[in-house]
Amino acid sequence: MNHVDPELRDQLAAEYALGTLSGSARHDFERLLSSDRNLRNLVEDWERRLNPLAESAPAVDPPAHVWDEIDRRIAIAPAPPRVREDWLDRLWDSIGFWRGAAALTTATAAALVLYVLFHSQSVAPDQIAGLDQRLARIEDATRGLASRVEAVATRPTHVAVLLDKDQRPMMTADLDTADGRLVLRLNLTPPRDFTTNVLEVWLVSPDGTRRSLGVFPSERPGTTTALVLPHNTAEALAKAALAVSLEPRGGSMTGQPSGPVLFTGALMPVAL
Amino acid sequence: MSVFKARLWQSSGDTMVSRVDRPAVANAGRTRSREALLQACAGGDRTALHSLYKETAPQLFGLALRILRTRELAEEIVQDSFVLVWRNAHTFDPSRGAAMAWLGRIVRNRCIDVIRQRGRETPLDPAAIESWADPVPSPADLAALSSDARRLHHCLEELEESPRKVLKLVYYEGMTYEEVAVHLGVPLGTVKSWVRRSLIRLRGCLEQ
Repeated sequence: MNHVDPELRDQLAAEYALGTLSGSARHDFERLLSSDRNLRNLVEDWERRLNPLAESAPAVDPPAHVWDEIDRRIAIAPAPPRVREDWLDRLWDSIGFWRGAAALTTATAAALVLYVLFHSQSVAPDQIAGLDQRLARIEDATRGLASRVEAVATRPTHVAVLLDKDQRPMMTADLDTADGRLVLRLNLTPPRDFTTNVLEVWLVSPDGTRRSLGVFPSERPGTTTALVLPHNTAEALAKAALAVSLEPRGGSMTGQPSGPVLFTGALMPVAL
Repeated sequence: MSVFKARLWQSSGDTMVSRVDRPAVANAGRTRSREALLQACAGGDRTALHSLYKETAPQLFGLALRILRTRELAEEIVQDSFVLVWRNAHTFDPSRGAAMAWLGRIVRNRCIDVIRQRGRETPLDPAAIESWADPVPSPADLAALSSDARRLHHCLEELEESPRKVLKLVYYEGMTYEEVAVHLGVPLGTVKSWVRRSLIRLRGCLEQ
């Protein structure tokens, strides 16, 4: 759309910011946004011009439970990022787990086993089912440890390993549908420009609809973050997949992934 | 420049609170600016988020409710937005606009996404819209606004009445051109050209 008259570009950006583009026009414009930095800037300029109107919106007090739910969801502060230069060091740290050195849940362990297997043997995602037995044996071996860990960590009901296009395990996810807690851990930093971009995490439903779960706090390997999802979102996620896309600072402005999707993985139930 | 009309917000429900009832929101008793509160959130200060919520949630909820017209959905959007605010506070840049515009952008974009993707769960109610379609802040309200918002209102006042009304219907109700055309009983092309010309004039005025 670069060849298009600059005035028309600005007009469309304004109308997108206002929200008047609808149906296919809005969808088409979002596709253009994903690859056109200048167009994103035009939209942002218009949002900045128009959104001071929000200050004059008529005030309506939200019911008390709205804050209670926000407070619940932010209650679990993100764990401090652990920074290591070489991911192999971390892997060895994780292997230290087998000697009982690290406090991890069995499901995290399961995700790490998948991580090792994916890395060393390039196991395709469709072979995941075949790993069940091996996981079961590992879980047997670590049962004692896991029960000690339970006092400090919740027990995930689902796990995911998010793979990039080269099948590298970029991120692991633990979901506990009982309390809605989702713990995400970034294993490797994607080779992208993070001076102007961030990683954004998406819930991808089986019907293809995508919903943002937020911007991941850092691109540093080892960063772990926990978020608490509303009950129905956690239930939906259990049957869905996670995707991580590269977005401009602050996250996608469109409510949909606007940059490339870097890695994805479906949630799998953990039968503990 | 035309004189600002001193007109109060119309209430269409008993929970609706006039801005005039809460001048304290912007003036007295504010120990930390909203911008400072957002920056404190970025540092992990949960009480700062709560303070910011208490100051801004009524208007953000009001905005979401106007657009969505479904309480439950508006509550959900406000919840999601504040969780998003908490997690993205570090990306807020006060040199690029006031905190309320940043918060408004998050809430409004999510609302627009919802009604454009799923359609409206609750149809537009012309009577309710008419009761407040062209809200003009009173001088007391204006004093409580950020300088960006005051300039925007000043520039809106320079537009003719109908185009200004259309812009406000679009912003505060999330209406499409088609919905505006039906609501006002004017041709679709007229609505489009009003909006387009108004936007160009607004930009010119804001950049003066």
